[in-house]
Amino acid sequence: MARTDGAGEALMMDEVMISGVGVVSCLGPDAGAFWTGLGSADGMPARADDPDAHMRLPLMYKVTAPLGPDPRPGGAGGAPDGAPDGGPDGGPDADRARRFAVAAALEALRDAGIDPADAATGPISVVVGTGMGEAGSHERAAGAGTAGAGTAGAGTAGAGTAGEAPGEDGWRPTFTIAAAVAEAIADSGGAGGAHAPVSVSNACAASGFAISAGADLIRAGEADVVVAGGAEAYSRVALGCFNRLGAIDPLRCRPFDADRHGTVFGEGAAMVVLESARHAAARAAAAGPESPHGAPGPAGRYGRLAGAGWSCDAYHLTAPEPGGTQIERGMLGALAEAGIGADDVGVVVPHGTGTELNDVVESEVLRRLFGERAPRVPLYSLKAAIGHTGGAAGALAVAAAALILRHGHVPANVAVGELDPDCPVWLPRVAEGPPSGRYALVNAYAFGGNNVSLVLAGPAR
Amino acid sequence: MSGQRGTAPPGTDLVSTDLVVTGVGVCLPWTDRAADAAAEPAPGAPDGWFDPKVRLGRRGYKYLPPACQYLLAAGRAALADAAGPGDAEAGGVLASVDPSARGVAVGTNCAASRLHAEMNRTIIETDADEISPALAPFFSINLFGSRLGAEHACQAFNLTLTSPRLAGLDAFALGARAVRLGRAEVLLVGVTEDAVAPGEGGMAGAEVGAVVLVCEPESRARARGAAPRGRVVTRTRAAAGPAAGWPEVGWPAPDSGGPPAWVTRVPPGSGALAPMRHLAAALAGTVPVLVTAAGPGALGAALVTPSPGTAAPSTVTGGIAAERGEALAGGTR
Repeated sequence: MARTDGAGEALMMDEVMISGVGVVSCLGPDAGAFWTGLGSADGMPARADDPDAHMRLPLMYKVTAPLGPDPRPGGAGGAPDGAPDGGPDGGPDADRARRFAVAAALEALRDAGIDPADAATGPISVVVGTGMGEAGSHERAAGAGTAGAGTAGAGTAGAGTAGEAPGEDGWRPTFTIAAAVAEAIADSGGAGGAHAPVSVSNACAASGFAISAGADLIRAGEADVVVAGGAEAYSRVALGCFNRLGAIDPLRCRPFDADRHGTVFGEGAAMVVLESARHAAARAAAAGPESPHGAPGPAGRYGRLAGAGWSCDAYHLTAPEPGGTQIERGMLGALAEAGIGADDVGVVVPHGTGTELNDVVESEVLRRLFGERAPRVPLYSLKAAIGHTGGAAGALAVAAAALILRHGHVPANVAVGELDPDCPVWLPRVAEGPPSGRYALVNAYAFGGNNVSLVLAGPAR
Repeated sequence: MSGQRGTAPPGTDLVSTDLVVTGVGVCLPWTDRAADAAAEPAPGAPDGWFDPKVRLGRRGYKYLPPACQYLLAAGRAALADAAGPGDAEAGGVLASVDPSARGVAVGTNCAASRLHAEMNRTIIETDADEISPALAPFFSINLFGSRLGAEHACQAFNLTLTSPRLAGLDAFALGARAVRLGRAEVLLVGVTEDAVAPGEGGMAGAEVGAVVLVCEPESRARARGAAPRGRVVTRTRAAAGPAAGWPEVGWPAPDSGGPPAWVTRVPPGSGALAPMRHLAAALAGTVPVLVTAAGPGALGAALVTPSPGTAAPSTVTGGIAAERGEALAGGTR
């Protein structure tokens, strides 16, 4: 079965539509603030609000907007950040990553015009990427002097809910964000996913893989609606280890800058609603709510997730393979799965972290990919605006790409200094649009050489 | 746990049915044998049970975190178990597979727990610069599986799954689906765990060790003369409750046709290793087994169908082996 979109392009029934976007970032609590902020961010981090962060550069792009309430029974309220740290048992800093994730997931469903309680929606599967899960809560417990056997376990608020294992011995697992998102959807009346919620932890590529894995569920005919994305919050251990590795820039996150000295972490979450073309078509006739981003209809309003390419360097624990062979294979795989060539790509949201070799290798592969057209393909260097959001970075990049394609222009990049001559990329400083191609390429890379590239096809115009 | 009779699903919506397990590797404090992997251990592990110099080699492994060492050892054992005639001379089971077609999917919940706790303490009490540079990268939990992939030049993909308790079943499902979608030809699926950090609670259910499976299309296994250990089909479902039986995990009701199987409900532990241990043991058995487990808001199951004639004798009397005995003695099969 197939249908055609407005451009006459055949849409197979197992194709993956992007119907909703939700974002929590340092730019604000929702996708609207994110989109607005992309073109106006100052790109400056702040010092982490952690007196126990004994490290040279405790810098973060922190989410400071009021958060939604912790969905757990007895969970923390929606107080603004900066209030006293409540640790894992409550308070505004408790379980930040899961709260980011839940807020973004529920926003994405609203944006998609999908009511989980509507019987026509059917099961909603959940796939979430995160590098650190709720490690921050465990760390704060130790920092508050409350560490000890069972201290953060049995009897804490919400024990027995998605964030707490139901075991009798009080195990408090770290990677509960996907379960929390699924629980929040169930609390909204959802029937439960066709699959159990899946937590993917491929470090800084985690949510890129999560979104691709969610799309695979649809392509394989196993799900019709998937909420997929990623979330990350401040982790003392992650930031400390990056300090130890000498991978933090002392000033800010400035990918492709000749003077860059590493990255700077950020907090945030992004979720997309992936929907089978069949499901989208079935509800396309129904009037949906207007998107806050101005889209005319809810189903597939952001176009399609057209392709994904996976690869692994299998080379070094932390450094990219200098020749970029595997990241190039990932990009080519994504283009091939989308059935397009490099000339069809109108914008790239790169991985671009600010770490020295990563930016050089990615730039060189993009130059090879686009050939003589490379200087005219605009990049939106997202991490310069919101920092490196770790396991959420791929999802935030997908959200940025989806919004770029939806709105039809590339926001002005955050200014960096002089570009590295070994990074021959174009970072437009004024809004560019519309992209010369209908497709966006998103890259996400990670420790261990875990690489994923995604191709988004813009909506029909 | 209890034994009961059920039926295999008439089909599967999750996993390539032509994918077979050709190698099983086990690295547990009490055994390296798949047939004994289902024994319920005492919490923790005896000191010195794993010597990386003996198990992995004298150079390059000593400073890896324990859960990484366990996974590497289980991986080597699985590949050795998967060897067919001539594979050793050809350079190993993977020698005929292009690196770009070798995929890895690893599940873990607690591989980095103790390491994180130690790093956190170091930062609080001294400074991040006091963290060992060799261990610092392992704050990222995906490096445990990535090290396995690097050891065997697996460049198709390297997935790390962390869903509480069901990460191993997820690893199998996502890895197998990726094979079905053409992202790889051969798959290493594993779980590795180390003891939980004190602050995470759950010490009594702590899990230590690793299991790795080698999976490949049956046609490929037959072509190289390897005997499949069996098939595994997984299924998970978003639902609350304890480890369950057939209907709870969404498979057809018992006795609706298909081969019979015994049900093993895996007790909840502090990690994702237990379901994979039972899965490995079932592959060494003689009858199909449905291994079921529960995580927060999630149920999962793996239907394990061992190949005829590949059973390995069990040397333990507890766990799954005893359960089968009881079920058989009770006349339910």
